[in-house]
Amino acid sequence: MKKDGSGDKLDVPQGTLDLMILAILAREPMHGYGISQRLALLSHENFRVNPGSLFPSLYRLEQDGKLKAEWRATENNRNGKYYRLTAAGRRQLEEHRRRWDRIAFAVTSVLERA
Amino acid sequence: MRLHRFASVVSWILRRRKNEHGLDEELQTFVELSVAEKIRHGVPPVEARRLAMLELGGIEQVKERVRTERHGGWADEIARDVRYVLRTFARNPGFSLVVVMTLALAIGANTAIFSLIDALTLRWLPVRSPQELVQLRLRDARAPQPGAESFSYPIVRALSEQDDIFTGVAGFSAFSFDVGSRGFISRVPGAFVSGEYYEMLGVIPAAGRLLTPADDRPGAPPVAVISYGYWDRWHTRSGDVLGETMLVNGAPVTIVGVTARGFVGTNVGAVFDITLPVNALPQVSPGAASLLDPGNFWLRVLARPQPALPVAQAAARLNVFWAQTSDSLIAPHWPPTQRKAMANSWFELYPGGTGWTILRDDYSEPLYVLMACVGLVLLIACANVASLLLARASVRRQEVGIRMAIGAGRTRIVRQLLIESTLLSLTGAAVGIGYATLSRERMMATLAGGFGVLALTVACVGLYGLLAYNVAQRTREIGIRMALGARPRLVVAHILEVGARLLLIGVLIGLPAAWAASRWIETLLFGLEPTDPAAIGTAIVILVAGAQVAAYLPARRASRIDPLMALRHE
Repeated sequence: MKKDGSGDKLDVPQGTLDLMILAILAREPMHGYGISQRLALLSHENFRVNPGSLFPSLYRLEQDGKLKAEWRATENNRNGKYYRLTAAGRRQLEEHRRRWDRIAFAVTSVLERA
Repeated sequence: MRLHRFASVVSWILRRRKNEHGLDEELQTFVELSVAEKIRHGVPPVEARRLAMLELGGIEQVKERVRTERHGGWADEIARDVRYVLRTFARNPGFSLVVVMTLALAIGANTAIFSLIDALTLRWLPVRSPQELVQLRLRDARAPQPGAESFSYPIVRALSEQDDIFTGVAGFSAFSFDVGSRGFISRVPGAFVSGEYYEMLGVIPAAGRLLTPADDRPGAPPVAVISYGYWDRWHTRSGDVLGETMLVNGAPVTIVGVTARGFVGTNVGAVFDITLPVNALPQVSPGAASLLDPGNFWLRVLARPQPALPVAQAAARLNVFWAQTSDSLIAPHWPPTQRKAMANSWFELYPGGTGWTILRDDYSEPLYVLMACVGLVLLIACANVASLLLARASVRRQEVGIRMAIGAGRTRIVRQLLIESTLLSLTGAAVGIGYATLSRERMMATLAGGFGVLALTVACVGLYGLLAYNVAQRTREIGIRMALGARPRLVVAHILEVGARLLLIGVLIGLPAAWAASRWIETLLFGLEPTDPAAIGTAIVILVAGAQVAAYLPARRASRIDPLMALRHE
């Protein structure tokens, strides 16, 4: 599945999986497989999250009221659970995005000037 | 936010089965989509499925992670432990039963006695500042403490005029009344009370007004106050009841008000559904009208001393008052010696905030003694249970070892053992409280005897448990003995001997202890010399008989051990 032969996949950094899931779902509701595909695609195949990490996150976010799910037919006509962002999820996304921007800025700044 | 999370955990647990099912289906879809995608990229179907399953990393593992990582996952784990513990109980019902019964007996006895003490001596009346109330007693120099509790109506009236001592004085006496007209009469518990009764107590009316001193004058129109419960049962809490006339012992009486919910009078254990002023006596109970005379002592008295007046000082002033006025208050037709004795009596003030009961004087001290005794029984029961659990732990060493070897964590095992003892004690408490409520009514009569039986039962249950475990642990050894030719009869004798040895030690320790304790309860055992050899002898005989029965059951089980089975054991 490697695309560019750049070596092993990266581990998703601690705490960023939720942020990325929320960001992906902010565009449109999606099922678990769709999320994992989208994550791989958008990360240029650097992240490949396995179901053992993805589903616990989805269930926790749903339980916290950040996501809401509904069952619909998928493209190949199977019963799929589609997750979408709730208002609380949207707020959390904004908050975490701001925090991530600061972290990224701070880390990059240190690395560039050290 | 917190509340929201809690609610979501609860709903999660409730919908668990459905969620589980949904997760299954979701993971299936995940795999199918993944397979389809791979086939689209040219991977052969069989290989595509294999890769997809590999990526998933095992459906059960994913499900397990979802389960443990979400909030409330611990509840599931505990539920699983509880189920496991219940299964171990079911495998060994004798053990569970013995522990539960031991605890139930001890907890039940403690609950029963404590609730009696609570009702009799600890519960405040639902009135204003009950801790300020005092009960008045008049003590005759010749009579023992704590003095007479009843007063004549003239004395109560004179007392209520002592404004420098009391802010209010209430006399009251329970009566039952026939309410209704011929053919519809019901007997209703109630009381005659003096005019200041409700004002002194500070009871608030739920409807209308309560009795006042003006209602308690000779010739005043007879009025009544009913309790909230009576109002609820007979008048569906209708306001129309105010001003209504009811027939009390055939005499018309006007209902003027209802007392606050929860207030049922000042006699512990009795209910005043109807209260009438003392001066209604001639109309309502003409036959008892002479109760108004100075020669009849029938009213209990509660009073509220002036604030800031120490009780000792109130008593001192009261006795000054008595010295000055007793002559006019004591019935003139009494014989001189009786008049003199009463004039030389003095008032004593006792805490009155818990109301009046005839039971308190007679029973409160024995009750505290019994409380101490059942407390001791509870301790013994706990020790029994502890030794049973220890015995069991040694038998289960192997089981715990196996479980740890196959990956159960130390915390998991400890948690399970804790759940086990919690379940045992909760069940014991539940059964015990049920038993306490059942036995409470008959408690007073059989208290003393019941206590002895109880202590004996707990002791025997403990002995039984101990010996049963002794036998269980030595199954193999006994099997070998029997294989080598020991007769069943010998095995029984051996186990009985173990029991008898314990019993002998118990009696040797118990006799001096009983002798010491008897000094203490000497005053309480009516008609029985505490060191009465016959009584102690009987007690020992009963104890030995009980212990033999307790020891015989495990002994018989030991004698029925099949040597072959025993040797294959473990």
